[in-house]
Amino acid sequence: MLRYTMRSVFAHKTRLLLTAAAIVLGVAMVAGTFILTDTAKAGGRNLIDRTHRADVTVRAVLGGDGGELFSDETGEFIAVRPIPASVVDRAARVDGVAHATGVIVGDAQLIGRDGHAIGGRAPLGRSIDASFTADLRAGRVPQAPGEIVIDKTTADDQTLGVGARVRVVVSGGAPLPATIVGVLDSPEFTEAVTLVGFDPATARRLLAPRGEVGYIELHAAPGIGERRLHGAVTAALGPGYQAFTGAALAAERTEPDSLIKQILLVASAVALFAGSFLIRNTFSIILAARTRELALLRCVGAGRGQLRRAILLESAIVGVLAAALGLVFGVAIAWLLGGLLHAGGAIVADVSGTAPRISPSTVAIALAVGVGTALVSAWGPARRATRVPPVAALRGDVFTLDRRASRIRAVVGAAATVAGVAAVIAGVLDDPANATYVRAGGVATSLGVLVLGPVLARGLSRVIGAPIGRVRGVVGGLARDNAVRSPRRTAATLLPLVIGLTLMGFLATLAAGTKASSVGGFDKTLRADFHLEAAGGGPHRPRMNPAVADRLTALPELAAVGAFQDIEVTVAGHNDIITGADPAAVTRVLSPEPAAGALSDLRAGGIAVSRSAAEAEGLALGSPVTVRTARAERTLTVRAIFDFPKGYFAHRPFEDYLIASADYTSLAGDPGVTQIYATARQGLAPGAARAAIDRALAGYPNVVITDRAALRRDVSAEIDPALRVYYSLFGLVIVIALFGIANTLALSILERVREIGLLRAVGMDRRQVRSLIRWEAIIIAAIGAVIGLALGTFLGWATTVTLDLPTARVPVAQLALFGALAIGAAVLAAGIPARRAARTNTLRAVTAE
Amino acid sequence: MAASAGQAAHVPAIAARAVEIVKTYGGGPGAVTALDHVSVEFGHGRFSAVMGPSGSGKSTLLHCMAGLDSVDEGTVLLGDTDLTRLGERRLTRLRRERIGFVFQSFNLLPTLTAAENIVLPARLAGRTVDRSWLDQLIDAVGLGDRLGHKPAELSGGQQQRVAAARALAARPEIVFADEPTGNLDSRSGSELLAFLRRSVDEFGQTIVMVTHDPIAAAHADEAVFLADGRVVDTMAAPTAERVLDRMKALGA
Repeated sequence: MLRYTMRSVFAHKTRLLLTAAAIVLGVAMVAGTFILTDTAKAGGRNLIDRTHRADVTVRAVLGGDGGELFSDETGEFIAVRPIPASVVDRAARVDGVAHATGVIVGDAQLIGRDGHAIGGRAPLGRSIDASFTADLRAGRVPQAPGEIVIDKTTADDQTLGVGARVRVVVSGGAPLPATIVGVLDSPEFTEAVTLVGFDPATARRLLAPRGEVGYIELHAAPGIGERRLHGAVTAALGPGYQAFTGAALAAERTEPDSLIKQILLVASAVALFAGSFLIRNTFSIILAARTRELALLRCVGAGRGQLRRAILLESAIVGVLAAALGLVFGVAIAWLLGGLLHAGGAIVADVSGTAPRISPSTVAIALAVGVGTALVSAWGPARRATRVPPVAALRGDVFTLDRRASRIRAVVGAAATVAGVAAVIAGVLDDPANATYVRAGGVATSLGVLVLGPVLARGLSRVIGAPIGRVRGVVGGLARDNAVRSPRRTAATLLPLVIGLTLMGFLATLAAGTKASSVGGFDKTLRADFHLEAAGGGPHRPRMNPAVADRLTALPELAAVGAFQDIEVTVAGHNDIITGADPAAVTRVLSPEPAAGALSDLRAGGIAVSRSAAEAEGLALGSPVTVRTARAERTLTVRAIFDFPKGYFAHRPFEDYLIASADYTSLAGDPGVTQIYATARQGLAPGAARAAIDRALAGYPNVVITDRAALRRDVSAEIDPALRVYYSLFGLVIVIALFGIANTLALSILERVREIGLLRAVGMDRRQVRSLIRWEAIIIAAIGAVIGLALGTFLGWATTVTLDLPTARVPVAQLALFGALAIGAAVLAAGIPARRAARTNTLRAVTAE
Repeated sequence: MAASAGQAAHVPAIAARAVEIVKTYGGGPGAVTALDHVSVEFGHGRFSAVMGPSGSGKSTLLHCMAGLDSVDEGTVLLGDTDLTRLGERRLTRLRRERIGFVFQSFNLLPTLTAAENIVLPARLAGRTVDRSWLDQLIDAVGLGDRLGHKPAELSGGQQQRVAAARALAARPEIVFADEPTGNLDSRSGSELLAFLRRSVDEFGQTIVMVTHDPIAAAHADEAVFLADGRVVDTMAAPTAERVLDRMKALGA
């Protein structure tokens, strides 16, 4: 029996490949995820190994756990609160410390060749000492005021080298002349930052006038381990300070975002789920075609169990082969996703240049997934096939029409769908929307549609096929009939496409609602025509010179100017950002929805709180709120509670807490301005206000001016990077689905050799045969597109409403594009089967066996 | 009969002709010569039977003459058209416009109704079918009430009669039937043969039928006997007894 199995597997290589194809992609996604994670980790470790790696790093926190260790934007270590110089000395005296370095970080912006601060990457001003000598690509480390080093990426982009004379804006101040004395290629800095490195003394003078440092790097004396030093330092510095061993930071830094891994694995699971239907389908078709062969084996004495085991063994072999192939494709997927995620900043190391890491556990998982999926999918078809009576070998009717979709299926599916849709709608209509109803209803609807698949496929084929039959004549009619000749098989073929397009439709609808809501919120709330900020952004919150606001205020072309300053503080016991502004100016550039009190009531000693923060902290008008910074602590009184429209996040001048400028200055002691919103005077010629602003700010090269239209575009595009990742992942499911369609078509053509031969004999030409198969693919894909996009749109709409986004929107054009792409891809997928069908040997078909 | 005589005036008397055709399968020492310099003519408006034992090459002859298979040597003429000179595309067109087929089994598309199967070649060619001719045909084939049924709902005899009607629907110059009664019981078989006979007598149709059944051959106007890839005999107005005797002599 084993010999029979092996022969049977390898006798039909095409069949083997087709069966394996569906598993290969699923395994490739799972394996790709693990390979990517491992490779990213290895890459990250590699990176860390090349860094200077302090034995212990210390930072000061305002309270709580201090939040994130590394910036999502730039990957740099986050210094929460400045550390007084005296603490560096104290740390240096701790037993076991060989030496302590106070690292000074801050806001220093390099002015590029175009005369503006370099945008796109976050500015980082930092002290660079002799320990960086090893990382120099050119020149030397800075030693005197007026000397700086920059990073290699910036040097390459700006074609700046050693000896170049540049200007630097520090904390929004007047541009300072500087000479580049070195270019660093250091693993300490990611490509997301533009580094301006000063010698430690200059860094202290420019970036930390009060003598504070960002964080402390400690190196242990010989024989002292990281952990021992960590214990000693933690004990010596007491509360308010956090110490991390080098190993802990390395682990934290190299661990790719666990959310990313989860998303990847969920997408893989969806792909495998979709793939398993294809495999099941493929096995069913293949075994149906082999009915006579199996019956013959039964005739000559093979037992049912024997036969079943043989088939399962065959599927296991297919699974092993698919897993091996999947591993290979997994490397490719890891490479592609790695590039995508690295570009998005989700993983630290650029894995495209690193050799892929395929760990033994990845191989084991790939094998388990491949063989498991194959066995599970083959189980049902194997059972059914082995029930064939031996006498079937003697009958000729191999091909039977499976016209009937069972009534139970129709009833159960319809009931689940109707109940699900009803629950979703009930949940949506509830005020506030009932998420539990919507979720349960969504699951029920999806399952209902899944069960109802064959019934829907038949019904839809009539609707979709009718015009095709009319336009394409007899070929169209035949294609329509063939497409749903076996509704269950068609439904199984469709399912992966339905799953993929449901996800796409869901995402597109949710994204459209999110975008429309955020743009709607922006339109309703922000009244400003211009937005100004320091170039680059990032964790150091680059500042503009306070004089920028004054100059703008003096412009007759502007009706209102609101300057906003922000700083990280501890407020009501949590780390958060607090914004300072002139309350009178705020209401002229912005109109948030007042929930209680009015922003104009905000005076010195008062604070305005967002509704969500007020609810979370239990604050009401008149409540006292304690705000603590590194400099001061104040207790303020809640004077107003405001609210932003749901879904409006990008380009909000402030988040949860707003205080008057006077209080801000006393708390922060920093006059730098983070953002300015300005409104043009009515009746000006277009461009006049902008020209005036440009003229007024000629001496402030680090200020980036954005007009309202661009802001609006930003708001709308905010979720695009995340969308791209999701679309790519779900796109893979659709690729699997297309394989499935090609696969089913190819197999059904093998089954229909005689039929196609007959058609050829009675005068169907090759072009018509190809067209027939293509139209079958189109009809199948169109049915899948209609079901998937309808379901996805419905669920996306329900989710939009449940999330309380004010604007739900159906992105009709985008959905139509998805549908058209799916159908177009299906036509491509049908290409090979269609050509193969057109080559069908007429004689073989008409010659009776 | 008058109608067919009238048509015969401007159509060549020979509907199809094979001249010295050779067909070999395989190559080298294992090659099998299915047709060995076969020359044969089928008259217009006549019902001809091609007889022979298994392996005599009778089916191959039919396939070659119908443009379903190519010949290695010789010429195949349908009317004035030399099939051996036609490319794949023109052969396909020729098949659907000038030739009708009835096979032993699997004649009908399972997804189409009987009526749809009958008009299939015409629709593939993008032509409409003469309605009155169709009615006449359906009446002759005796399927009036079964036209809306799918093949699976028809008996074997009914299926073959639908196939015969399909073959005749486009008024082809010639109908090739390959063992059309091979899978039928004797009653269904004789119904089908009666229909073929009628179509020759009443509509002037030319039919060439391959069979190994002497009773079937007895419905034909003439019989051509093949053995080992050669034409060994012809017989006008064959009867079952004479055909049987001839076949016995051939060692079938």
